[in-house]
This record gives sequence, C-alpha cells and structure tokens, in this order.
Amino acid sequence: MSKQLLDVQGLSVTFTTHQGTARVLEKVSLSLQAGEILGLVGETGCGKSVLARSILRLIPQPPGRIHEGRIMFQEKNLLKLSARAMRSVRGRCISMIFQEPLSSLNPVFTIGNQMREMARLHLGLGREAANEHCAAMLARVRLPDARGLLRKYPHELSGGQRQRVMIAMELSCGPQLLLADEPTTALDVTVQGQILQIIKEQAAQRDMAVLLITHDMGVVAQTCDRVAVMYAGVVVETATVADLFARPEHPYTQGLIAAIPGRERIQQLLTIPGTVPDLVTPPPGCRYHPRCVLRVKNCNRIEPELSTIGAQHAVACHLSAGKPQENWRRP
Amino acid sequence: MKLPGRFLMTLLLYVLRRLAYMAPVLLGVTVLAFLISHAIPGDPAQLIAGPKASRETVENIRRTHGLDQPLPAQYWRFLHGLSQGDLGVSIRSHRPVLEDIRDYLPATLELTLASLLLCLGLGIPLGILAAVKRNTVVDHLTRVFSVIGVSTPVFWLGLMLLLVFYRHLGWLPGSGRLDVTMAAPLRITGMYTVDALLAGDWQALRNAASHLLLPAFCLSYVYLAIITRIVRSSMIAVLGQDYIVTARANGLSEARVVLKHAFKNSLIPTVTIVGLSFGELMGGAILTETIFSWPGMGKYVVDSVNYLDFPAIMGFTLMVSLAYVCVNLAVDVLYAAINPTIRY
Ligand SMILES: Nc1ncnc2c1ncn2[C@@H]1O[C@H](COP(=O)(O)OP(=O)(O)O)[C@@H](O)[C@H]1O
Ligand SMILES: [Mg+2]
Repeated sequence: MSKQLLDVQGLSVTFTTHQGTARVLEKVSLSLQAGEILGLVGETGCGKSVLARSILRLIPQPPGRIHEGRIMFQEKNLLKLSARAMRSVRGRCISMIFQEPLSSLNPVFTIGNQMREMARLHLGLGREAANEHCAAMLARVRLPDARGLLRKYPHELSGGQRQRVMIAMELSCGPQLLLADEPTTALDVTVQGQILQIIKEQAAQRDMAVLLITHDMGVVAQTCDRVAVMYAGVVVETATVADLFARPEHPYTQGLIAAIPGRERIQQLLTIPGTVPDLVTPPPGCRYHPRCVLRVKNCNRIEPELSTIGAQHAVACHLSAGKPQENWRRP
Repeated sequence: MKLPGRFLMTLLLYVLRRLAYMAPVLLGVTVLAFLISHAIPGDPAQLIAGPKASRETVENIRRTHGLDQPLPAQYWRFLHGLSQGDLGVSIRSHRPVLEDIRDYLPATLELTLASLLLCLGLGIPLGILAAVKRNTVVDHLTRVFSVIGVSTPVFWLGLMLLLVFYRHLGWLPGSGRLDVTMAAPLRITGMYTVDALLAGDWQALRNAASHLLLPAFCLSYVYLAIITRIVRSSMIAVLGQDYIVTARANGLSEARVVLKHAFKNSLIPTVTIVGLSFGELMGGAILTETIFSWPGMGKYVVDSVNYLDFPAIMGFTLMVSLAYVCVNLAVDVLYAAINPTIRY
C-alpha cells in the first residue's frame, strides 16, 4: 500500500457547553491517499464538520478542544505545527469548501478581491498575475466571463455560481487535499450534479485527494472511491463504495443504505428510528446500541474497536468481530 | 480603493437626487420652526423694548421687524429673503442673522465634528479590541469605560475634566477656543483647527486643538461609549460568520481576518448610528459649550428663544438642519460604499 497523504489517528475532540462537556469526536481514525475521494457520511450533528475543521485546526478553542490523536499530513503532525506553519498549510496544501456558498464568501468584497488575496499570499503573485491566475481558475470550473466575474460581489451570483467560485478559489493554490463540507447540500439537484462533476474532474486532473462530507448516500455512490460512516462522533465503518453498498456491515450503515429513496426494497423510505444521542453523556459501550435492532449483550458495555474485516473494509461492531460477513444480513 | 466607473456614475446621480430631496425637507423644517416659535406666547417687541418702553416704541419695533403682519405674510417674507440668501435681521442683536451664524456656528460645528471624530477614532478600535479579546480583562475594562460613559451626567463629567486637567494638572486650557494672546488663523471655514491646518500654522493648530480636546471629549463620551459597544457586538457577530472561517481556512493571518474581512462588515451597523449621533451631538453641544465657555451657538440660540427672536431662531434651525442633512447624506454614501448590496 502506498503512503497515506492524510492519516488521522485516534482523534478526540470535546466541546464545553452549558450542559457539560460534549465528546464530539471519539478516537476517530481515517486516512486518504493522493487522488482519492473519500466520502464521509452520517446524520446531522454526528461530527463531520468538526472533523474537517479539526484537520485545519479551525475549531474555536474554547469551547472546543482537541484532546488526543495525530493528524499526519505528508508525514507531518498538523497538531504539532506552529500557528505560522499551520497558516501556510491552510489554503495552500489543504483547502476547504463549505455548505453555504453565500455565507462563506465575504459579502463586502468582490470575488476578485477575495481570490487574489489568497493567490498573492500563497503563490506570491503580483496583482496582474494574480488576476490572470484567478480568471483562469474560474474558467476551469466552467464559469463564463471570468474577468467580469472577478469584479462582481457574491450577492450578484447564483448559488451554483458561488459554489463554483468557492471551488475555483480553494483550488487556486493547488492543494493536495480538499475538504468539501456538504458542498452541494444547499444547491438544487441539477446544479448539485455539476458541482460534484467539477470536483471529481479536478481531483483526477490534479491527483488531489478529497474528503467529501455529505449525508446523502446517493452523492457517495456517484462520486466517491471509499466511504467512512460516522455515528455520534465515532467512525463505525469504512469501505470502498462498491463494498459498502454490496456488503454494509454495521447495522447503522445498513439502515442508511435502506433509507436511500428509490431503492427497490419493501420499505422504500425506511428511516432509522430513534434520535442521535446526547454527546455529553453518550450511551456506554457502542454509541449506536440504543437504536440498534441487532444489539447483543456486550453492546451496552464494551465499546467496539474499528477492526479490519476485509480489504479496505473495517467496521466497529461486536457482531462482526472475527465472523464471516454473510452471517449478518439485515433482518 | 479602485471603484468602477459605473459605480461613480450611479453615486453621482444618487447624490444629486438626494440633494434635490433636501429642499422639501428643509422647507418643512422652516415651516415647523416657524409655527412652533410663533406658538410660544409672548411678544418679542415688548421683550426687546423692555417693561418701561412707551407703546409707540413697541409699535415701532413691531413694524420694523414686520411683526405686525399676519403670520402667512411673515412666513412669506422669510421665504422671500431666503431665496435671496438673506435670513433677515436679528431682533435682539440688530445684526443680520447670517452674520451671527457666521460668528457662532463654526465653533459649534468644530466641537461637534471633533466629538464625532473622537467617537469613531476611539470607539471603533476599542470596540474591535473588546470583541477580539472577548471575556478577557481588556474586554471588561472597555465595558467599565462604556458603562461610565453612558451613566455619567455631562455637566458633572465636564466639571470633573476641568478640575483634573485644567485646575490640578494644568495640562489643558479650561475655556475658550484659543489663548487670548493668540491671533485666530486666517478665516476659511471658521473652525480654528481646520483653518490653522489649511494655513499650515502649527502653533495655532496646537493651541486650538488643546482648547478643543476637553469639551470634545466631554461631549463625545456618551456616544463614544455607545459606539464602542455597537462595534464590539457587531464585530462579535461578524467574527462568527462563515466567511470568517473561510478567510482563516484560506491561511490569512489573524490581523487580516479581523482588520480586513471582519472590520468592513462590522462597519455597516456602526455607520448607521453615526448619522443619528451627529444630531444628538449638535443638541448636546449647547450644554457642553456652557461648561467650557465655548463661544458657539449654544448661548446665542437659547437667548434667541428666550427673546423670541424669530429670524435668529429660523436661521439657526435652518443651518443646523442643513448640517444634519448633509452629514446624513455623507453617511448614506459611505454606507453604500461599504455595503455592495445597497444600490440606489
Ligand atoms: N462551536 C461549537 N460549540 C459547541 N458545540 C459544537 C460547536 N461546533 C459543533 N458542536 C457540536 O458538535 C457536534 C457535531 O457538529 P457538526 O460537526 O457540525 O455536525 P455535522 O456532522 O452535522 O457536520 C454537534 O453536536 C454540535 O452541537
Ligand atoms: Mg456539518
């Protein structure tokens, strides 16, 4: 196996709130290779955004705190970098796009102003060269009239255009890793497809890795190479996309897949009963056990480890530990 | 900042349109001022002539100032004069009102504008500091500073400032606009600091500025406190926005994030209240002028009202309104320049 570009090991993050200390990420591990698109799925509030922001060390501290773990990027532990060194990673080696393309661009500066600022900072370009470079980037995400666009303000653009601008901006300094936090959730379906297509294309062209956060299994199927499934701050399963859809191992993953609308199943719109647990006092043992239809004796006592059950397939579930996969199908 | 030509063109049209709107506003102001001042019971002719004057003298004064005519005729006379740049003659000082305005208004404008500058020049940095250092000693100190500001009566503050900086420390002068031994700079605007600056007369500038400092601070403190709080809260709101996360995620330094990306956004709510504060400052100037013997329009206007000196009242009301409307126009233009979602 080739060297990992990003290797997160045992990352735990807490947030101090009025209710107490929420354990938002619990020993999260995942890794990405160059050029790979990893989907990160899970319900709202399970900690996907916190994970992405932790990688860039953009968690507000306080209330947040990164307790333990390592975030190895190109063999360097990002958690150990100085503030200045971290800034030179942000936007240049690792960049990030967000769910809300309107609110993630500064409303009082032109697109050109914001894009140039970044290009000049990281690439050391002069004003004209930066302008040239940014216009070229806009053209690459298939935005017509790039020059004119640079003079516009975010509110003068449509949602899809804004998200393309964000992508162009974030790719402008040639990052090796793109963290895309639900980049299409706020857009309508046709635009969604175009944006995903652009991300996929750019990843392939630049051999850039992408961590694609979504709660939409359809997006995963369309776009990703591998998937990590998160539940309440824990990675419960990782697998290749094909494997995950063919042999979902964790009961939660099985539920997610069954919940995809349009699947030829009897319960077409099965949603998983129950709600996401309170992270201040998470359930003991497996965090999913109160909602799990397959739970056994140990589930509420012992926390299952993420263990490998096949090539690129790992799962954190007592039912799967050391057992052949075929034994555990959905009931 | 390089502005596109399209922007400047629309801006110019906007300013012209706003200037055109100004005329009816100011006309309305004169009608109101006229009606209100005439609704006050009292006979200015009698007041001027004194209690012992003969009926004839009183009648004479009444006639020379046109006070014997019906109200609409008097108002018409005022308008007619106004259209020729004549504001009439003060009943009390017997001088053209325009000359009185020329003597007293610049001092008040200077005081008010200096206070406004202090409000912005101190309030904005303090507010930013408090927001960035939220919940630290710095933040608590600026909070104390603000609470004192909004809760201290102006006359008391003025007296304390005089006591400390004039009487005990002797650092700053306690009254007037210039040392008596000093010649006023060549008159251009009538505001000594501005005129001294324009003339390049540094000595006069220093002297005028040192006279200005205490009254300007006294007048500004309340609004300084308010602006500090507004900047702080809008800055905190802005610092929580997604585009701030984007800016940080793009690798920008914290100084750039705060002073460029957050600051411009936080100015939007701040600018809105600056225009309002200016009116309040003009009103508040009257009290401050009394405390610091500042030879502005404060005492003149109060006396004019007491003597029902109609031409003086009308003239000053018009000028103050004009200043207020102009500052608010400037504020609106600034607002549009900061906030690109506003188009005229
Ligand atoms: N700034 C914060 N302060 C307190 N709690 C937070 C903060 N940011 C995130 N959290 C908590 O972390 C958990 C995960 O949030 P998030 O990562 O945004 O979920 P999602 O998977 O929907 O992206 C949530 O329970 C949320 O309440
Ligand atoms: Mg999220």
